[in-house]
Amino acid sequence: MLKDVLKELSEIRVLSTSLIAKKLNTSEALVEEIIQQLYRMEYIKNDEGCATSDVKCSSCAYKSMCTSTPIKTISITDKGKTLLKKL
Amino acid sequence: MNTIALVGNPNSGKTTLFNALTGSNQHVGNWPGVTVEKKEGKFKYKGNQYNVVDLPGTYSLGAYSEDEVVARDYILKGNPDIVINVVDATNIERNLYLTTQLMEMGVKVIIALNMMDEAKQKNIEINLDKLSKELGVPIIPTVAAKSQGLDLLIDKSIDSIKKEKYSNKSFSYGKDIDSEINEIEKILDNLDLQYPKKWIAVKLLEGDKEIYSLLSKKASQPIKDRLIDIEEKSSEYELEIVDKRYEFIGNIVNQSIKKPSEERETVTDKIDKIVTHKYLGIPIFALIMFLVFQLTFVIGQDLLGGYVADAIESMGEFVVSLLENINSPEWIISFLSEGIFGGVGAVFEFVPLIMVLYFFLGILEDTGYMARAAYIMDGFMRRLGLHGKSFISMIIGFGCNVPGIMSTRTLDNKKDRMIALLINPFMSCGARLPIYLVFIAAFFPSHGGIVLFTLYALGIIMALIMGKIFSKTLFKGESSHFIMELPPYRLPIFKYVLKDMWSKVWDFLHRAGTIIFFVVSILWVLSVLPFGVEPYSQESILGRIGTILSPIFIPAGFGTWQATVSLFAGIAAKEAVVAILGMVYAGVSEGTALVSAIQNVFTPLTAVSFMVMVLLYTPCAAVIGTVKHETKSIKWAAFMAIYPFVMGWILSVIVYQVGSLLGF
Repeated sequence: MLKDVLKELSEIRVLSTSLIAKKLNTSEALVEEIIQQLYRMEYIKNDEGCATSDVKCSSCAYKSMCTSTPIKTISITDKGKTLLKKL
Repeated sequence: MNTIALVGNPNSGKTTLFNALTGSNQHVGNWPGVTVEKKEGKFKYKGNQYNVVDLPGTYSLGAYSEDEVVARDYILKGNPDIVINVVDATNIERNLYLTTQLMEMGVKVIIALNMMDEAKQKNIEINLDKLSKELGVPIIPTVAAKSQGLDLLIDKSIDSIKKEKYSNKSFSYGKDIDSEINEIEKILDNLDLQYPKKWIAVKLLEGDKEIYSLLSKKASQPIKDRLIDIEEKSSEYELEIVDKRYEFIGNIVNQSIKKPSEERETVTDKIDKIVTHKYLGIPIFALIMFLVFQLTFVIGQDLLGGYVADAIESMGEFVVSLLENINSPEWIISFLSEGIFGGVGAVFEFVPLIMVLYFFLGILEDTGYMARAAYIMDGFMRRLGLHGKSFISMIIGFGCNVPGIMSTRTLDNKKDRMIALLINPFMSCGARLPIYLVFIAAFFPSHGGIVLFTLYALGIIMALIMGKIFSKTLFKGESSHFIMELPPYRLPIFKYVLKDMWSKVWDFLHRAGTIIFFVVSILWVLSVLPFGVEPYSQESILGRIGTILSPIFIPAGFGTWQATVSLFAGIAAKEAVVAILGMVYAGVSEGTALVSAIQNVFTPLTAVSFMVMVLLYTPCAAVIGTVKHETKSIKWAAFMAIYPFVMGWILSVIVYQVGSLLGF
């Protein structure tokens, strides 16, 4: 299941857990949980396009000049890419 | 006294349950050696006292975080008499992962299926008997927030404590892994370990660093060698084990839980069908941005415009007359009237327009539309061979190019990062706005929206063209893949939009009051020296510097020393362009507004070519410094100073020359 979700993530541009769930014939909630597990296992990572993503927006020195609603993206890590190559 | 440990996901209601059981009879400290909070309490039930430990909320019991290690160490070494696993009934799939790991530990577990009231509201039907049978543990429905189900929970917990054996079900990880587990258990047979051997075997196969470290200290060399073999294959085993857990959870959920159908098209989906359409997406984005700029002028200029300008003019005249009445030296009057009120004041006049623009951009961000804009542009940019994530840093660059450039750090691929970094300054930052607004007010007062839209669009087009050129020349290679999360649309929360708008405007005012003040002060001195020359004339030091450099801009149509010095002052800070123009062309004491002065010196065509130069030329010193810092290379910082200047010059010359040929 994890590999299937990771493979789906490698092929899409926008995250839609409902579409992934439909394709894999499972529930959205389970897909969401698996995505969180992929984060924990460091197969994927996310960022909010921030210059200082290890600092909360409220304490960031650039908050007055930055976007107020960061856009979140997910990318596949090297560990994830290695796994995808094996699939 | 029996001890009960509470474990569960964050937000499952675990702490609510803890508080409901213990009331005020609790103690908060830290787990030894770590910064993780430890909560313990006591309660009395049917004449007996019980100890309760509220373990840190975790999603699993691996070694991914300090919280997880603390929780699992307590469960295995702290010897609680029973573990109550608090599970959120509205989100069972997520919560059961932890449950499967508790089952592997071989401890006595009872599940408090919490938030049953919310599950009922969401029409989630749970077959408790089936779920209990599949998991092999008792399940008690609770609503901890209302203290419902707690008596039954405690009764069942006491029953479980009294039982000799736990009844957790174990499950198979597949033939290969089960066989590995059996083999490892045999290897560990003679070792004195505090943890169940089967659990250790599973952890070793998962590559758990904590367990490897523990065994390395206790095991003999042959066992250590075997551990190395296992560790090498652990990433594959880990995946299989985790997959089996989810397969188990998936099966249980299918059999025991019924949720309302998820096949509903939300409002967000309906809007996105149009807004992110393959062909309509970009035109819709362009239209929305045009409307934003148009509204900015209607509200910011037509309705609110003039108030600030009048206020600054009145304030300046008041200060000048006050100083004249007390016979102040002429140079002080000149500095304040032409330098500060004429220069810095010229920047402040456009605050209403800037406020309105930031307000509308804030609404677009807060509703979630800007994420769609990034998605639409991502698709377009990928077709050009550019990394779509660059557009996210470009959106940030519309506010200020400094965080825009810094945000390129999130691009892992060096090629993508360098291209995004080098094209970011073509995003017209907030500091350039006053410059455009002055020239629009002078020559295009009825077409402000379209002029501003055209300038921003030109910046984006130039960024894409240069990005394409860089990707084919300096930075060849494949772009990396990424997925965007589009948040659901929501109505903007005006409190936050206004707060954000004010934060940006305040930053603008702060810069005007500090950096611009400093730049204007220095240039004012240069514009009145040497002594004896007419202030702000070509014979001043500033005038002479400008005269030497101005021939560069003759082909672009604005080869005057005043325009030249203002452009070079803009390299310190872009707002300084307007401040310097205000200082050299107008002064409060002369009663000549900057806009009128510009109308006498520029033409509509040269105004356009000047604005194109401002849009594209060398970014401010802060941006150049940021490039140096991010690339750790003076070469790239110098490149960033020079190539936009060249691009800006080329474009502005083309605009002027072609415009002249066409008779404008």
